[in-house]
Amino acid sequence: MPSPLEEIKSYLDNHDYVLGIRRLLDYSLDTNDPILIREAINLSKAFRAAGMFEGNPYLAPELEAGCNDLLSKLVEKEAAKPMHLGVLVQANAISKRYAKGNFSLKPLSLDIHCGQIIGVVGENGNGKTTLLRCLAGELSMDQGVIQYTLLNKPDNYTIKNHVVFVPQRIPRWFGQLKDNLHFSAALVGIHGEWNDLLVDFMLERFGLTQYAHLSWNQISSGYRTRFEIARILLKRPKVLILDEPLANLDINAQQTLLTDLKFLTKSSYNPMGVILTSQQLHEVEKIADNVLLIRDGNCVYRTGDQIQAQLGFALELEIGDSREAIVFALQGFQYQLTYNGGNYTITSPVHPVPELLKAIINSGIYVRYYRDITTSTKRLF
Amino acid sequence: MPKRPLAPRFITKLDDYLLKNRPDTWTTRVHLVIYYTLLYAIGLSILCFVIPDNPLRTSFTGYWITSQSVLVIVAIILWVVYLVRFNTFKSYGITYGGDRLKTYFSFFLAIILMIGTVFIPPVVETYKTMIHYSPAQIVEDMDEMNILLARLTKEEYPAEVTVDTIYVVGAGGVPYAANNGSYTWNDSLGAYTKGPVYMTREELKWTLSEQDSVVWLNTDKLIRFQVTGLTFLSHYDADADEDVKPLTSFEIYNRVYKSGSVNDIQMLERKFYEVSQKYRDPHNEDDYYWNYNTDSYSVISSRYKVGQVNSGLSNILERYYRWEEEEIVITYHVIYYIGMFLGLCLFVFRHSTRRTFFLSVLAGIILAIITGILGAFFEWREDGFLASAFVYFAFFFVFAISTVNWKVRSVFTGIALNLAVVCTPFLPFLGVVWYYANDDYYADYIYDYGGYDQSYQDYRDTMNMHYWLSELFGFLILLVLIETVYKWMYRKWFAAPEE
Repeated sequence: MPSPLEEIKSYLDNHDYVLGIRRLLDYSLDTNDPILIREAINLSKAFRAAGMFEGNPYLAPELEAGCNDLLSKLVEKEAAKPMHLGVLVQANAISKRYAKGNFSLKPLSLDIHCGQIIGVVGENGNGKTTLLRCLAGELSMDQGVIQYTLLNKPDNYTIKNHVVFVPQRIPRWFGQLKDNLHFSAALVGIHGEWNDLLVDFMLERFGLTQYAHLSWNQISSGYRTRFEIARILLKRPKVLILDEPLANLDINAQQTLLTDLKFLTKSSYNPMGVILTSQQLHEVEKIADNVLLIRDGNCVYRTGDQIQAQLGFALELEIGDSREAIVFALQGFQYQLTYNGGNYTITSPVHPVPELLKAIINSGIYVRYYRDITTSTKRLF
Repeated sequence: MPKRPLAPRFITKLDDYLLKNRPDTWTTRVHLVIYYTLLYAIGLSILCFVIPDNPLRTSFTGYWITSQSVLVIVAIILWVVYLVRFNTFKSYGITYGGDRLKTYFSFFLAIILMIGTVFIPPVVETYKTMIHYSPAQIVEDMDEMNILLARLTKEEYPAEVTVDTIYVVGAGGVPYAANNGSYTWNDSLGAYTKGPVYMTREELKWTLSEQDSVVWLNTDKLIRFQVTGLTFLSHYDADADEDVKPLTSFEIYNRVYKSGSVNDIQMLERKFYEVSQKYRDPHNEDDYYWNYNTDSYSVISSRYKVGQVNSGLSNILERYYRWEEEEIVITYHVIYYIGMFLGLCLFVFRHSTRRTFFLSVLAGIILAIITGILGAFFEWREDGFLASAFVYFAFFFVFAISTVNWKVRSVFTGIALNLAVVCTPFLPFLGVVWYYANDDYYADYIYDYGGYDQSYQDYRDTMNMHYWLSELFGFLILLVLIETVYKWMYRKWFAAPEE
């Protein structure tokens, strides 16, 4: 497995500048060295100014030199190893019944580890947000206990400083967006030059520098989400709870945010645990260490292994031929075929997905799209 | 950091520094409020200086005060809008010891400063008047004009002296008929006189304030000298300054009527007009009263247009003596209580949810209505209302403190907490009011003796001191509780999960 610096070098060599610079920024932050962090910020700005993030393939010599220089400094400095804080939150048999309405969240136990991302999926109105709000201390529980293991007999105020909940509908801010970031940093005791540095870092890290002086009304909902994430991260929460963070983001931005979360949870600057809800199953499953499926207030499944053990292998695909073509291709296989009007789903208790796919392709069927959903919660919808 | 209008570099730098280093102070925006208030105060002072003002004319400061008050209200509303934007407490930021105290005190001071601008126009007006007229000069000229008028009209306006012997009696007084005798000329006294006059101490208090001259024979008996009114020009405020007292009718009588006859009328008239010209209100043509009365006093007043001079004097002295101790005490209380109350409202607003805050306001209004109805129904006197205030506070405080540890954030706890906080600084004051409302000495003196002497004055002084102390004590209690009990309660309540 390549080291982080080798990984960054590889990104840059392969012209993946956006990813490479973002990782460079992350790594510089992990060194906790203000000079290196500032250099990384300036380098990112130079890349942006040169249009490298907009597809310019030509890397100017001075930028390349800057990258190499910073990388060599980072090698010398060596970032701090991320702390393994273990379990951050232990929720034991928590449940919630609303006074009005019939819905209730059934007893559910859950651990959130440091560096871990937990995805919560499920149809609308099945209890995802209720679960998140209970974990964040926003909503009272009927039963169960939540332990915040890093805190010693905390009151609710301390818990809300430790665990940050970002609702789907982000509360409106006022004034310049940059001021909000400065304010958030100052709230947790980041003052003076560090305040300036970290705000500049977050702006650059999330590609927000050019929007820093705008107000809420002047940016799109996608950028509002990005600003909110930057604002929250400045508060250095130990547990980050996100309700539908992908809802307002375009496809690229969704991918970027999820990748960012994956890296940031494991940073040594502020290692944390993340739990998020989303309807983007595949995107969430790609980065989540654990996925919960909530249905009617019950946690129906956790992790894909459990699904595979119970339901076998599954392949989702879209083809240019008829159903009969698949049936012909899979003659002799033990399988079940379903069609939802858009995609076919083939499930088999014995044949792994590569075996099924190979048979289909070998029969000459034109496959437009396929996905191994053996361990995906999508099968349960 | 956005560029603010009329904000110099140091304000921008300060704003930036506070944002990054003292977020709790920054969110109050007190630095901006104080800066812009001072800027406004300077601008307003210059404007008031530049606008011409004739101190002989009626003062228009009332219009200024009204318009400034409206502006201050608008400014406070704008400030509140800014205060909604950022909130350290509600953002679950790190709080330090003294933060709450600092925040409340900042609100209090900034509001007082804003309200203070309302008084700039009258202050400038007084200052401009002081440049042109001094109290000693006014009284001197007034005396001179009164003496000149008395000399000018000595022949046509026979002044009469009456001498009365007054006996002070108890609260029951004496029958009206006992004082109903008629005056007769007494050669040996050289004055008119009648039988003894009986008065209670309360009646005597008012009599003494109006009389020219009295001689006390003992604690219950005095002689009163009265002279026909010779103070054509007069103003009660003229004697507000202890050092300069205008001449009384009795003194004018002694100076003018006991001397020889007047010869040079024209010279005296010229001199009178010369002096009076300085004090004539150019916009006052109101000698209506004197023109339509035929008695000597009215005829003389009309002839010499005394109304114009009195009006001018009155306008000057109104500007001059609006800052008497009594007025300043009232002004201080107005500013203090508005500042304290609005500061408290802002404090509560900043520590409460919006819904709970407005429900607290509603609960307060409803409670006031219910108390009023109960008071009317059960015929409460002031102690009934005061007792209800204490009962309410005790209820709010006990309810809030006993429910704040509940697992959920209850809106009822929030309302009780908010109302308890708002009631706190008034409690010692209400306690003192209650004490004096039930004090026998006070009641006995007012209802039985109705008089005014040193012991009563001492009693009043002590009472006033107790009121002052209670206000101060109430404020201190509030500050202490804000930083201790209320801080803890708000923290517990606000962060609790919702139902």
